[in-house]
Amino acid sequence: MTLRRVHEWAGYNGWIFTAGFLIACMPLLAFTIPPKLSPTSTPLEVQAHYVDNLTQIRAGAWIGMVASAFYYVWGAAIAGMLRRVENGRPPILTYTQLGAVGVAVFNSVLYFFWMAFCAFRADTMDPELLRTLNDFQFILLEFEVFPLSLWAIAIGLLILLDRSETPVFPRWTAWVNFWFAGLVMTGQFMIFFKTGPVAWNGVLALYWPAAVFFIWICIMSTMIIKGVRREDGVTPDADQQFYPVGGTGAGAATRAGVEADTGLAN
Amino acid sequence: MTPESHSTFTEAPAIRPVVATAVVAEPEVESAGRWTRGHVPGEVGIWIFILGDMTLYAALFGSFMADRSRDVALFNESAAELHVSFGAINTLLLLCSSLFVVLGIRAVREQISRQRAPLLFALAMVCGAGFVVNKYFEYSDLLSSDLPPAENAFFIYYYVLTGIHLTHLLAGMCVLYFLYRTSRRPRLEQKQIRAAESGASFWHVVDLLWIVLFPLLYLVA
Repeated sequence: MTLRRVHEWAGYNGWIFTAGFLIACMPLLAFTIPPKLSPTSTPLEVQAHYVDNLTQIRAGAWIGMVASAFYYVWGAAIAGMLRRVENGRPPILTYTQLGAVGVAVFNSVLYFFWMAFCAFRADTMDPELLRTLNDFQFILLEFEVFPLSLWAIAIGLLILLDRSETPVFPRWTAWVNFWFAGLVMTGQFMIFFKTGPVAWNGVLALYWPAAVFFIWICIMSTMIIKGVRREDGVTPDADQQFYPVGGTGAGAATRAGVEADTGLAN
Repeated sequence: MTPESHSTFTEAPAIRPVVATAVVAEPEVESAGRWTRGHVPGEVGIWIFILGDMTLYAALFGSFMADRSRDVALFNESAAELHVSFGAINTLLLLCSSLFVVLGIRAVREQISRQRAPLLFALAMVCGAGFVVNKYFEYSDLLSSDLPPAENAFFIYYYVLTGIHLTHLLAGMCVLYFLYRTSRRPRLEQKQIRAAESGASFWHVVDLLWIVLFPLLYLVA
């Protein structure tokens, strides 16, 4: 396995995460997209749902937890690839991305953790308490979107500011990121409502942000894979002092040195 | 052949102009590429953003109409609580602002009348600010009249739709300020004109969304 192959897989990770997340949440497993429960469900309905689907919910939580691991690599790939735009300057937008991806992964991990937590003693738990824990799970999923927006804005800004001859990502993807950053926020108002399109089982709070989120992940995954293939072994327009990896030409010696140092040579 | 030599043909028999204009159009496409057919205002990416943004509104309008058909009486009664005059004034303000932006962009493109552009963009900003002030009075009027927004489906939609639109409008005000700043520069490069066109396109979308919102919320009965 070459380093290039590993980097390509960072892009595929976005698809693996999408598939894992959705399989975990969709009917047959956890039933959270679309949700069987609603903010107006009574405590007994909530408990009955958990008790009837105990194994499926636990399996969903486990699959989602595994899928979340792939999310971090995907985020790190974008940050790493766009790093050269800040060529030699303080990598502020890169660090912003890394911080945001940490929070976003934690959010995803905690979501599935909470799913498992609700299912752990669902049969013997006080129904009122179980409903509260279940609400927590949805508010966690839909309310905490600022890290995502901030992250996408940092990515979009770097893509727009990329002045190199062969940009890391095509310019239009910057606008996909801004689109995502703005529209994923519609879910936040779910804290005000228990019915209608903005309640946590409504169009605006659940389905819309989920669609926008996974479209964004899939588009950027494709861009990561394309970018890695194009830039394999060369970092165009990058300051060679900071990016001493060359192709087969003059930089090849340095490249061999780097790969030997990191132990990732073929 | 230069474009000037063709223009003499346009005065010749009726069939000629068709041929002549077709020939004249080509060098324009090649050289300027901006005033001709096939020109996309602004950069292409902004249209991904704008059309993507409109999908949200399409989804919201669809969801609104679906919920309305379930309880038409409630929606009609609630809509009657709104004051059409607030909405009408805002429609007028946004239409004026869009007109100012159109004239401003034209002034930016025509290097001769450039001095007018900052004034036009400033006027558009005044209209936008007027919209915000008007919205403030409308919201405070509604909130003081004891309507329960958390339970009435129509008012949930009303606040969500107008709230999201207001967010767009505030972002649009920043864009107008950017247009104002750009138009004050002594010389504009092609890239800056393109950026100005992108910004203007966004402002027109803010206007367009309101044009759909106004009849949907205030007038449909």
